[in-house]
Amino acid sequence: MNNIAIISVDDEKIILDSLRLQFERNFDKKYIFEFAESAEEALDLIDELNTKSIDILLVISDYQMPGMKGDEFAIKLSQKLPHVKRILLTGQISEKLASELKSKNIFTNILSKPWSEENLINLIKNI
Amino acid sequence: MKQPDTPHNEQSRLEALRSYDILDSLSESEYDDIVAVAHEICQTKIAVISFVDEKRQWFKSTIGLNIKETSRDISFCGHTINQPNDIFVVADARLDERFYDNPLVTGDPNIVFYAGVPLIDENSFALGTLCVIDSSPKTLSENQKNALQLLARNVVSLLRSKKKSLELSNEKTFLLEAINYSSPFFLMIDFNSTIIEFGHNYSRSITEIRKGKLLSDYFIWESEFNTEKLLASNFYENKLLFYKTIDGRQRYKCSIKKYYEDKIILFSTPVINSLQPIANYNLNINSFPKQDYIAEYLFLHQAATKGLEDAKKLADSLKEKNKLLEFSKSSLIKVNATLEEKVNERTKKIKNLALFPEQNPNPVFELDYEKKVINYANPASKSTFYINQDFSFEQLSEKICLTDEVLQSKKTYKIEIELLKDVYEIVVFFIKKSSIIRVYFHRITEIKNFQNELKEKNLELQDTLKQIVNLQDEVIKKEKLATLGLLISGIAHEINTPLGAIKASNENLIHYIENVFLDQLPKTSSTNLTDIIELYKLNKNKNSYSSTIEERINVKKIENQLKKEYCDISNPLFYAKIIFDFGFTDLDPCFNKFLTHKNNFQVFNFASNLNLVGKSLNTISIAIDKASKVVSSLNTFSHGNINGSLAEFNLKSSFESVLNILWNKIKQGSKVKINIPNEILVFGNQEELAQVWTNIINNALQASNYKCKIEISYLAEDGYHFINIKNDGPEIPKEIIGNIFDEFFTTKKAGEGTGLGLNIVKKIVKKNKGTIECKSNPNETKFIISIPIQHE
Repeated sequence: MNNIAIISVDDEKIILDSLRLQFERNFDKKYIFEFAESAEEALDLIDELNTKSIDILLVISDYQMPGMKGDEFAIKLSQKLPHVKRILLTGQISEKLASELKSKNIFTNILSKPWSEENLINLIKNI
Repeated sequence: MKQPDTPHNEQSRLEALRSYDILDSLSESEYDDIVAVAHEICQTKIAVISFVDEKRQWFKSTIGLNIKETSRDISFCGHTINQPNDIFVVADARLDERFYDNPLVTGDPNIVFYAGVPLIDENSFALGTLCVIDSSPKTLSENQKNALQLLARNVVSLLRSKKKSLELSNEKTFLLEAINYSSPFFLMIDFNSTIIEFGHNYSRSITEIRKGKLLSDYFIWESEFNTEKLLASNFYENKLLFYKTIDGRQRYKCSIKKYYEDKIILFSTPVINSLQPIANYNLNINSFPKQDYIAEYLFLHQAATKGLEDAKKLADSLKEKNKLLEFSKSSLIKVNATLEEKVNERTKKIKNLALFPEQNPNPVFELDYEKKVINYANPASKSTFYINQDFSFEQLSEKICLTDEVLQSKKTYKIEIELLKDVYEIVVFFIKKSSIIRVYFHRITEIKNFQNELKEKNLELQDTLKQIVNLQDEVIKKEKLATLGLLISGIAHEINTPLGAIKASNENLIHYIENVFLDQLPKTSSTNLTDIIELYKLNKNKNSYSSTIEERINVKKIENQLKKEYCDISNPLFYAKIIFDFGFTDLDPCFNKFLTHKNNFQVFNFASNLNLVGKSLNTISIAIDKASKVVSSLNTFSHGNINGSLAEFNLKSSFESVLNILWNKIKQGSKVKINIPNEILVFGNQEELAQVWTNIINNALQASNYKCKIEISYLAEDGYHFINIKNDGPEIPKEIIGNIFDEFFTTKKAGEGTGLGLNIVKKIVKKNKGTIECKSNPNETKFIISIPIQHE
């Protein structure tokens, strides 16, 4: 069992469930897949994984969430674990915000919902 | 004895004599002096100034003679005056046939010598003589004669100057009298008619009046006058009464005024015509003072009796009244002048019309019952119609709709026709007595044009009004689009999220069918397949979701239980996840058979895949519900009813739709509670009112930075729905709360709001016959919207 985790954060459980199936099918047991319904939960989770010495490869996060928003979460994450890749998976953001998030390197990649499984998997594979 | 002849002009001479008023007058030194001089010069015993009266001679002045007069018959002077141009000398009367037997010769004073010079006045009348007499014969030297004549002339001039002086004196008296009698004056009497005051600026004659005497001591009323009557009832006030002096010489008219409770003032003005002497002098009454002295007296009187202050008041009020009177008079004059002017103008106009009747634009015709024109009542009829070739009188009866039927009914009627490019109102009037139809034309072209213009203007106005209403609708729609624009990213997110889930689940399903079922199923033995189905049937969790935290905790727990109970099992996490997915939070003994199965991985994997198919389908179903909820909310928002017209809608659903649209924003940290009964129906434009809810809730979210509690509550009261949208966000500052419904008022950053939001909200609520008000304090801000329950 590999000790590398991929974390998905979205307030919509159906998104997390869908992602889980896609990840498990495509990566089988290559990674540990963890899911959180809010940024706050995700940060707790990351701390927990750290204590277990589990590396985190990447975090996929929604933007618009109750409580801490995606960008704030990504900034906190980058401060805590700068090497972790951050992918934004969002229903709708303006082009202006998207280019801002990219140029400030808050997110390494941006995917929009609905997403293509192929794109997502390739993106993860190429990291 | 010869009696003296009577002069030919005797009558005029006598008149002239009397005009000097000398006869029977007292002696005067001037005349005596002359007589003395004559006596001295002529050295005679006697010298006399004699005036020859009708029957006598009267001596004005004498020396040496003790009688005052003698009969004219025996007089020497009677002869003297008959030769007015000469001195009359009788040297010895005893020897003169005219005088020898004269008693004055035969007796005392025994006249022998007589020399007389006639006194001739400016009109050549011989009035009398200056004569010298002696009782012994005498002659006068020429010098003596001349001196006597000179003295005679002196007498005449003395006479003349005396007369003049008398005339002047009389004139003066008359003038004074005139002044006295023609000046108004007043009397103040008490109830007994006792005089208590009187006043007259120029009075001499009336100063005879004494205070304390009775009015009747001086005057007589011409009509009955009763002081008691006046004091009781003001009976005589405003009446003009007359009284006269006791001697009847002067008549007065007077007006009467009550003064305090017990006094009466008589304001009297002499009636001039009754005063003979004054009439002769042609006095101008206007030159005499009239009112001033009354005011003056009343002032003094008042000052004496009531004090200066009262007096001043009285004087002021009098002045004021006079001024008022003057003013009214001048106003009246002005009004009269204006009236006169108007009358003149009007008269002129009428005269002009009479002179030029063709200027009267309103012709009148008379027709007989055969419809033939028999008369033009004014020339305009002729000039307007007759000359014009487009119109003949044959057409007239047709034009004015004078049908046989109408002719029979003989009822007056009124029609409007167009004739020769003009519009006429025509009144047809039947004069039955003389079998005449009178047709009055009244040209109303201008009025008509004006009316048409008015009508057009009205239509224009209506059009504008319509445009304004349309414009308002347009503004509301635009604002709605703007609101939607601001919400659109949230809405897109709300749709894209379920779409993402659907797409992912769909791809999963395709994968299961292609790879799992088509690939694995054939490789699975029927024994295993039975076990797989048995395991799959243990799944008790088909539709419910647990949170990721629960999942992690429970999966970990099951994993640990597995590790404990099945220490030889590889990858316990794999089994733990499936057991949790099947709806178990603990390791259940029912899994024992499968965990210990020799193909346990294959059985669990297959059963899990079967479960995941159902799970994916379930995800799709949930996602579709979510997406369609958003879409239907959008429907409520923009196509709630097709025409945007008024209809009944469910209030709670309307709010739920709005919350769906706003969900993306609400979920960032706000809580919204809807306390509206399910069954409440509101009549109005749902689409527009949804805009209202959205605006208010969105404002609350924005103002609190998406972290607030919003409560929507409902109350039906006094025939109104009261919808209360309350939030615990920051207070609206007092200085702006009055402006929040104004146009283009916004506190948001550019791009966040249009500044029309709450203005449109108010317009929409008003359009739905409701009201909206806002109350804000540090604890809560609330918008209360009322909409009538009853509707037409």
